[in-house]
Amino acid sequence: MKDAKRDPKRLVGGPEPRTGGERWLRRAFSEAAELTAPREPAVRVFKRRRAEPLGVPRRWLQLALAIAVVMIAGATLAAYQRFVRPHFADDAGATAPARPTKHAHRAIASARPEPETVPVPPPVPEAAPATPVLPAAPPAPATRPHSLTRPAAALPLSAPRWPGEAPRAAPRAPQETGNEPPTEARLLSRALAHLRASRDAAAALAELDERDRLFPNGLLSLEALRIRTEALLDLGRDREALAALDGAARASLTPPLALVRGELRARAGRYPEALEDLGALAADESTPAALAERALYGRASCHAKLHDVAAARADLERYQARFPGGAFHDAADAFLRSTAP
Amino acid sequence: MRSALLPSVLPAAVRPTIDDLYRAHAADVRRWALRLGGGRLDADDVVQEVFLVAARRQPVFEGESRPATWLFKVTTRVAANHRRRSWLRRFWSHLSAQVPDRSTPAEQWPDAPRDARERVTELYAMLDRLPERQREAIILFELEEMTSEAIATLMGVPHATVRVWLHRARERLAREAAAHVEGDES
Repeated sequence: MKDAKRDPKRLVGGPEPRTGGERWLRRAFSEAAELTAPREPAVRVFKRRRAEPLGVPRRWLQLALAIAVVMIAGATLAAYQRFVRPHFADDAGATAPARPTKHAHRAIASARPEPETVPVPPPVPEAAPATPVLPAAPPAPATRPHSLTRPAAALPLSAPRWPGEAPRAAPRAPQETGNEPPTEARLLSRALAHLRASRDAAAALAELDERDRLFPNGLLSLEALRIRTEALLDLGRDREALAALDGAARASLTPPLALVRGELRARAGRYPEALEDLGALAADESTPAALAERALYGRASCHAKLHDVAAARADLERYQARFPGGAFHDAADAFLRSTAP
Repeated sequence: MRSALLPSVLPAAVRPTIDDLYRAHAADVRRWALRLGGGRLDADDVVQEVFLVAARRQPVFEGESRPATWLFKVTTRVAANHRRRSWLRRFWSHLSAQVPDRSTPAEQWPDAPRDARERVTELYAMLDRLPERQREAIILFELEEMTSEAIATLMGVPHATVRVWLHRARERLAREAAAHVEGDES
């Protein structure tokens, strides 16, 4: 077959057919291409189809859920007003006003049993690492199977420090007299003190929850996010940490937080989103070297997971050139060798 | 410094998990199913079944060929099975209003003009009379607009073989289309 040495001319988009049959075929293939084209992404289709078997009209379901949520919230608020708040007010020796806000907070603060002195974390010793932006992570607890892959367990989320900057003292909680209202800054200081001084991430989270309840639109939301992320990572609740970070705009995140979010997204299998975070860090020349190293390696890993071996290889070659003694050098080398053309 | 991704990601890159395969190829599989089925099968069902098979057979597959080639092979088999079973779906849809009959072009493309639906139905009837591999090759060539070289890579056969299939399929389709046009005119 002589013609078989080259491709046949394409009917759709090719030269004008000569016979009636070919013209018919061209039209039919053109219409078939249009009719059989996918109309929505596969993932969206599965989400829709998974929602279908409920068999309940979704508008009614949503309305019923909204009513239920409103009723539960109302009942909770009523119970709180009826049972909880009067006790605080009584304990504080004050009469609860009809609709108090600041007074109630003051009463709560004065009624809460608190230690005489807030634990003050010890100052950072002189022998602190010279570049503690990314200090070595502490040894992983044996109970955590994936501790090796924990992103940035020791990132100083609350205060990223650039190379060359003088070491800072650990956070110091303000001295409290015991009857002052809990301000947003005070709650965050307590949370930080719990986290850094007493290594009590659960207590830090409790303080942050209290801050979210009293100051849902506070000015220190980003600080709260940093501390919450660090606390959740400490507790191994990586999924919740990622959920907290997901809500933040990328521009508002500091480089360490952006790196943590990128790595968490990669671990969650959300490689395209991880590539956005890690790629921005890797491409930014002002990113500190320690962060850039992890970002570049992470981007290569995401490319590899998405089967873009060429891009992964390019990133790993760039990595080896830029960080010849880097922590991932051996792994990069092994990958490059195993995927050599 | 500890690695955040090293232990879990890079070694696994050589052996993709089923989640990786799904993320990377679900859209391709769905498109292949739509093109191969020509409106007579539920592409989303095919995608689900393909990845069920992929999950079950992955240990066997590893290292055998490229993931896309393997998934295309699975898709063609699943789509062929669905086409064979379409009569059962039609029968069931008559019995139950809960099961939509997606096995006819009229149901799949209710908004398309009637003559276009009829032409596409006739085209797929002609395609069904081709040998299976020729049918797949010509569909990828004309509908997916792939080159013969890309088709050869996807189907895992030599390039020259694909060209022969394409020429033979084109000749036979042209003959059948000419007969169809003459029949309409007479």
